[in-house]
Amino acid sequence: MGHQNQSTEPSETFQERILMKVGGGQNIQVVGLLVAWIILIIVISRLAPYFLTMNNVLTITKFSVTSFVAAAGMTIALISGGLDLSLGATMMVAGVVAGTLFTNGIPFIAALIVGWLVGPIVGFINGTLITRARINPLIATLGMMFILRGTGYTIAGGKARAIPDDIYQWARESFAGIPIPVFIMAGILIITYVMLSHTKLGRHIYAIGGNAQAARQAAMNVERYRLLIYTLAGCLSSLAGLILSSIISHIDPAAAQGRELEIATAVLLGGASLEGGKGTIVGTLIGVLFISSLYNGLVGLGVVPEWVPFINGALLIIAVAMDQLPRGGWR
Amino acid sequence: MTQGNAMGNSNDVLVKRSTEGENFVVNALTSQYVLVVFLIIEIAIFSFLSPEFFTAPNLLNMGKHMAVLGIVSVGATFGLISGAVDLSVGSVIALSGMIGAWLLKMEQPAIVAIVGSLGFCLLVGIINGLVVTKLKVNPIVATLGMMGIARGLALIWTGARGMPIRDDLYNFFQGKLGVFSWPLILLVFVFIVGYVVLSHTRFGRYAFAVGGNSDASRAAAIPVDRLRISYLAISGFLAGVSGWVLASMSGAATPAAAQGYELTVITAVILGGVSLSGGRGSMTGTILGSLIIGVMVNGMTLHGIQSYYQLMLQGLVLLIAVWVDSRRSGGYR
Amino acid sequence: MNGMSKSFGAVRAVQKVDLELRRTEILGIVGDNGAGKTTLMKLLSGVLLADEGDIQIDGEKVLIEDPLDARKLGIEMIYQDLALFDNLDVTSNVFIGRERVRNFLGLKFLNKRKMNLETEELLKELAIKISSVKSLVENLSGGQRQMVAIARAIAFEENTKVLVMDEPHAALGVAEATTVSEMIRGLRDHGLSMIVISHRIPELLSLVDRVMVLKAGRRVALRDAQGTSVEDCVNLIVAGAAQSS
Repeated sequence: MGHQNQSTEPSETFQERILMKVGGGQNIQVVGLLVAWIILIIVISRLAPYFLTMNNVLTITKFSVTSFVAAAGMTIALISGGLDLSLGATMMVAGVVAGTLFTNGIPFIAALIVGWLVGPIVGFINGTLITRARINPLIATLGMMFILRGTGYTIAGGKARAIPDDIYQWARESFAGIPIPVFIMAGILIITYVMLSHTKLGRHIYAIGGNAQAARQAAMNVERYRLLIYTLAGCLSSLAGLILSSIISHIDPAAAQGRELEIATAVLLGGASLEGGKGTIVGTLIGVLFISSLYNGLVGLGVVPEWVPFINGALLIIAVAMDQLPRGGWR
Repeated sequence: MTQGNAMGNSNDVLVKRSTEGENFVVNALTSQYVLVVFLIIEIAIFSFLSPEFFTAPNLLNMGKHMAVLGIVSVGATFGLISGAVDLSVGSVIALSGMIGAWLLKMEQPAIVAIVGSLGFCLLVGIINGLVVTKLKVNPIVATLGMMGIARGLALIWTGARGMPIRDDLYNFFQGKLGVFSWPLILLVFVFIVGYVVLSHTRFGRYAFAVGGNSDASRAAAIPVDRLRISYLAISGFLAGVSGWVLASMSGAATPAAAQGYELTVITAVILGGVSLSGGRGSMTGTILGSLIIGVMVNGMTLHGIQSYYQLMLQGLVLLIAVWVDSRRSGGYR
Repeated sequence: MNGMSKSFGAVRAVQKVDLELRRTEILGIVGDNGAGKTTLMKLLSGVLLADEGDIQIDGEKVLIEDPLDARKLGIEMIYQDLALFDNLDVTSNVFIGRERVRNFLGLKFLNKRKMNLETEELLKELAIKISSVKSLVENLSGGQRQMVAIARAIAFEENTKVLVMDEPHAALGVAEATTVSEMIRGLRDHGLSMIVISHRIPELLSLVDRVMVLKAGRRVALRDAQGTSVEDCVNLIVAGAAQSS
């Protein structure tokens, strides 16, 4: 062509170059959250010295693991433009099923497997409701949450029961000084990260969340992907539920009540967005760590549990507002 | 798409004509005739299951409890039609009672307790509206967050304990006028006002515009933000009224009241034909939906079904209701 | 396209329209709203089926029943909304659905390096100025987005012969519109023929070789762009006849 094209690009400033190096607004948010978390830990440990003791750190870790594993599922759902509010209920039912089977004589491993299967089944149902019955994910998973709670309640016979056997408390054990759940958390972190950032599947999940219509035009079977995504989320939830039920060593129909809200807040703080197409597993991890540390710290500082829903709600709104506002937000 | 709703009159069209060649059966299923039929069948079933169901005392009792659901549903209707789900209503109901009880405990006259608690709930609704319009947060998240905040406030206010209410004026709703209990009368009143406002005032009809296409509404110089705040304010206010009725009837306020009630309200409203995506619905539909759910709750309680299972069934009903709604409107894509 | 007609119920969207596209020609289609421009193009790209008329390529009759048929015949269409993924970068957008993978321990991973390089090559070849293929599409200007959409459309099919663009100049400033036009002209060197629908008459006339005017579903004029003024064009669109001035 020969002649000079008039440049149509926005002039590249120094800031923009830095942003591109860091990877854009997303990563800024995660880094910011990380800094906030570090500050939080410093502040709390000043106010309450026991906060950083091995014992307490272990407590926080165990809580974080169960939240994180389920949050990974929520992250994938959010990236794809959907939402899963049935995570906590799934966690509970998985734990209840495994515990009930086990205390009724079923071999340990078998009980765990069956309990875990609750997850993919629930996820598949969620996915079907959303892709076939074309029900809004919020409503579909909300409805399922209530259905699951009732189901779990029935199976558990209406009240919590202890599981005395030692083998069931596998999640309380450590290996080489590190609690077993941490290994699980690390494993899920790595697998999810690789899947999301380095595979075709992951990229397509981002694409569907970004522009489902365009994804269809690019010959993606959006329905099939969504079905897979919700099933995956279910798999992760039931895994989290098994870990939780092992830690508490109880069959508890009230387990993980309200966890969804906490997990949603953590994931949204970590950079995911309700509109889809955004979010990272690392961000989710830091979000979970932040929330877990915050709650642990607050409880330790003597803040009564009644404050929890209040803080949760406020945090949720702040997290989303911070994310949405610079970009124009909801209209 | 039948834009009849925006015009106001077609709210009461009982059979929506299919514009996309959709299944005639689906359209018939969503018409309000079917809701009435369903209601009748439901009443029949429960009468059969529990002989005391169709007795005067039970019906009046049902009417009282239905008032709580119905009043808050009227408010939720405005919100949902304008495109804003209000997930905070359950918490606001509890908060309303708690504030009222607390004010009474502080030796305030009943009037102050009533106005104070209702005013606070109105404020909550306004805050919801502000978070949605100024902070530009998705209403689902905004009201979900408020749900936690309001519930938290209800818990914190008195340290998670319930409070008895002995004031006669506040407990006004324990009384009745002739054979009709006051809650029932209030319900009818609220419903009529809600109906008139929604179908016959510009304010009400704008809800359809805002929910149907907010950008187009903005372009048409409709004050979308101000209206959205108003609708959510109404939702909060009526939730407060419901809370007052509830606390009044039971003579006590509990911070854990109406937990999970959001599901019940959404189910009733969607069952009645309000579309989840906004822009469609009617007050008569909402009242029918509330009736169906109210009957269901009463019938189930009579039959001894615990609340856990009731919620389960409501979840099921919700899914079915939304599924039918999706068939008609193309659904989630 | 010969004698194409398409009706939607009582609405005769396209009535017996002939369209001829010469090799490496850029043909413009103009007309008021509802004149049938997009419908006609949808008939070509396989989204709609014609009621009557036929399509020939190089003299041979072809049957286009769905978008896949059109694509196999080398016809690609870019819609006005571009169908881009704002949350993904340029490379991802270009390679969407056709990602290059690398095998590792039996699993397939994205070969990002290769895709980035290929995308850079592509952009260079098409003289598209974007500073980094890793920029998110949402951070690009309107003109750059348009060009990414075009790049994506022709990146893979070696046999893409015809490119249809619906309102490529929409929402662009004059400078950007010029750049996009230059890029489109440059595509001729790659052997492509193009059809451009546009409301921007001045930009269109300076871009295309011939311009076709549709009014109420009928073709009312086919002119050389050289000899047609903006005024003529507008008159044709509105009144169906040019005024001799």
